[in-house]
Amino acid sequence: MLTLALNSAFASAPSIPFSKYELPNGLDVTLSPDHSVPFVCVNVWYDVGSKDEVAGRSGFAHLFEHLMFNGSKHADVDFFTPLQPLGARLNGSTNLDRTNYYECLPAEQLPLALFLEADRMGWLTEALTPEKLSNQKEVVRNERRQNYDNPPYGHAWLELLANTFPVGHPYHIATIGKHEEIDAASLEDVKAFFHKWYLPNNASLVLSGDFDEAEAKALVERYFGPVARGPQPEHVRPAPVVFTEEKRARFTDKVPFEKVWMVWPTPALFEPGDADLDLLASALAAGKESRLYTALVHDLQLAQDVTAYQGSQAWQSTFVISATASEGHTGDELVAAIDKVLAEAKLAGVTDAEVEVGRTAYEVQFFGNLSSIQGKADLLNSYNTRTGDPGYLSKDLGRYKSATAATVNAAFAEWLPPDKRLVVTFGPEAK
Amino acid sequence: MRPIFLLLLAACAPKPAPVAPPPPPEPEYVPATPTPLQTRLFVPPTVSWGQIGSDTRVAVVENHEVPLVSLSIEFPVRATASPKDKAGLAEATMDMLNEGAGSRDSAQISAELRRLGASLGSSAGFDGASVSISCLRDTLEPTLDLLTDVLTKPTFPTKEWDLRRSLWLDDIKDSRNTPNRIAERVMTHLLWGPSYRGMEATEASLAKITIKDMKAWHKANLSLTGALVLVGGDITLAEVAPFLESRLGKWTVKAAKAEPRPTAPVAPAKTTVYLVDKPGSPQSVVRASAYMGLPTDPDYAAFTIGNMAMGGQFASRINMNLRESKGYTYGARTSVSYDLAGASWGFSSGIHSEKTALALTELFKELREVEADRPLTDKEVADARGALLGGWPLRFESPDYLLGQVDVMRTYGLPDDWVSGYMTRFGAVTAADAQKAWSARIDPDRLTFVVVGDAAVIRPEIEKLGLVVVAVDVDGNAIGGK
Repeated sequence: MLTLALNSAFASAPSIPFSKYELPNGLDVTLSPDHSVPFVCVNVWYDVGSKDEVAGRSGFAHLFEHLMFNGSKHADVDFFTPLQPLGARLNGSTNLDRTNYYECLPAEQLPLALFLEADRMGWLTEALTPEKLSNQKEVVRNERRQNYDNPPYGHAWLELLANTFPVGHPYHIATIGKHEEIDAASLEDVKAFFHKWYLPNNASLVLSGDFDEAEAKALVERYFGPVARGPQPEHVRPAPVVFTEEKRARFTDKVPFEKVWMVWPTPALFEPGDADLDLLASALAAGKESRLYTALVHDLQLAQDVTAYQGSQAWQSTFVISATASEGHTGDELVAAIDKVLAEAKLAGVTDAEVEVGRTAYEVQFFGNLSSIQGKADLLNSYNTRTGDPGYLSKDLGRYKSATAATVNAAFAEWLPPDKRLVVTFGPEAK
Repeated sequence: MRPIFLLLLAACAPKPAPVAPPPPPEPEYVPATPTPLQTRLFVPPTVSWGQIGSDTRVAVVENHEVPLVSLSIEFPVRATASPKDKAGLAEATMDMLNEGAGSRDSAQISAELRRLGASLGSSAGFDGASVSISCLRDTLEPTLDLLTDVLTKPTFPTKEWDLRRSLWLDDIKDSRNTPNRIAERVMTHLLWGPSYRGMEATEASLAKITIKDMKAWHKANLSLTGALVLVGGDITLAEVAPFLESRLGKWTVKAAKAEPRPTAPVAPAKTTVYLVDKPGSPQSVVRASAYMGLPTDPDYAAFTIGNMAMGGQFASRINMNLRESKGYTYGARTSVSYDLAGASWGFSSGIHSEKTALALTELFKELREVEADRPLTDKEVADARGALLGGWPLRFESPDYLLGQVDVMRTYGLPDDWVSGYMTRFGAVTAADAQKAWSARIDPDRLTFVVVGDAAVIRPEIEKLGLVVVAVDVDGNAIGGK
């Protein structure tokens, strides 16, 4: 009876209505009206991330994102200044793969949001000054201090990337970058980056919320139409990293407990195996009944927590298992216990019931993403940027629907070899 | 790129080409001035009120966009309702509810929830206790069955408490090591001592808590009597009320005696910086705090607007100075909040170690200048009003905001028009009102600061500002001499 209930809930599968077209300058435009609140979200993705930086300029894509908020030729004011008094919510973010910007604001202010977004897409560098650049370098270096240098275990992500992807690989250095390389950025770097990547033909615009389609189309044409197309930038995607042996790396830091991370390079976002590994992570570590939690936290009481996830990325993903030791226990004990659970799980196989539970969690998560206009806008834009199809949601969901215990176990066997992986440990400094 | 390319071509050319007349200059592009479209009418969603049992109110806010439902039961019992030497008993009891209930153990409860696509949480805080679920519309009934077991038939297994206590001790150790958490615990200790928010679990108090204590606490404090049920999402009152009535309608006990409200701490005679030394810190975690007045005071809306202009949003005096002008920090914010003790104001920022004293100098400059020759302007106050009022409709996108307001109105005794009068209350604030409320409440000479950072680098410079600096440990106790 319960199964029936679940099936009926998912009969109304998550979906987002939209229409898509392209401006003559190459800008992808996706419109998704939703009149539930009198607000509109303007969401722009640029297909450029820290993976596209040049050598010696780590952190630059993100520093550039900050400069996008410091004024453009026809609106040379802080980006917050005109929008904040309207009650707008706005921000931007950069990761290894892409950069996004959004502002959600009262629906009648759509023209202002489009004007500002178009102006910084087309005419950013005319308003750039050495003062703005040097100020934002300091801000970004403080962002690094706040999120990576000062918190315990804050360097773990940086070390995971650096030890998984070799020197020179686009994923070798985390998006936040190195202090000295952030500091080295010049005005010329900003201009070159802008003219190479910040082009309408390398961007995707999504409107979600309370607007009239014809009116929105005319406004998009008015403000984005004059932005000039540029030469299509090329991404240089390297061959996938393949581990041939186990590598162990140990770090000390101002931390109270030992913590370990196991990392395997895995298929990129939407590639075969990617969704199966999501479901494997769920079976291994989501919930108190999961295999790793039961063993490490509940039964053996070696760990305070344990997590597993498939960190999906555009060019290559990583599957990560991490655990924090309880007082009196060590990272080595955790590694041994995790290995035992993985060996047993591989032997017995993840079950259909475990896969079903993971699938349900993902479907609920999708519904959650669709409950806000910004969530919808960002999802449409992520699909359009990665696949060219804003309507990829049904295919994305289809990956989870078609996964079975057999496909999950096959991905487990193929992508998580016990002898070809990275093991990183962070432990307390010697007293 | 293009001009360079042409220059290179010219340089390679064997002889100069005949000079053509220059093309007429292109007219400079001037974008059309954006003008607002027609204003949309906004009608906030409404609360449907019902009742279960003899006197338990149910508030429902419908939202049928996605097939999800969230439901919480808010209990009028506080974490301080524990014996003084057993701090943490309320939190422990609430935390243990889903570690065994009815015929299910901890792992079975978790497995069943996940099978239903549901989640369940329970916690006790200093202003109330709460149990909440979220699930698919179609799994609401079985999820409510689980919730009912968890609430009315918890088993409190000894083995699970031993584990929860051990994890709690690890967490306390973490809170004594992580800079942000150190700042929080030190501020709590300084403001509250062992009372109210300061009644935190310790190694000693956790060692004293027994299963018997938890069973007794559960029996005495948890029931529908005096509770409030909040429901949001793809459901109506008519649908959910019978579900609740049949499961929990008779779950009542004699109401526990209400505790008195805590009294707000008195501001220090002189602004004091309590410094926790973390050698080698690249950044200082800086917090300031002050209690003043009540959220029901007539000038509270004006104070909130004044705070928005001073530090409550990105484009505010303090953030634009410390971040966008000086680059001392990734962000500096001030906030206004309230709890059972009253309204409080806070400052929070992570500041580059070597710039800590300079940032404090700028902060005090802003706090003093607004009282002297740079009062809040009409534009600043209009912008802050606009930010609050303009952004208000988006808050209703999820039922959580309105339901949260229903909860705080009851918890803190706020007036009935707290939500319906929002636009009027904030819309009426003038620059003079905001200035007056700010001046009346914020005294830069009577603030409590906590700084967690590298004392060797920052202490001498902070002392040069003329501030009292007291070295404290991670529990807020003074150490050494001055």
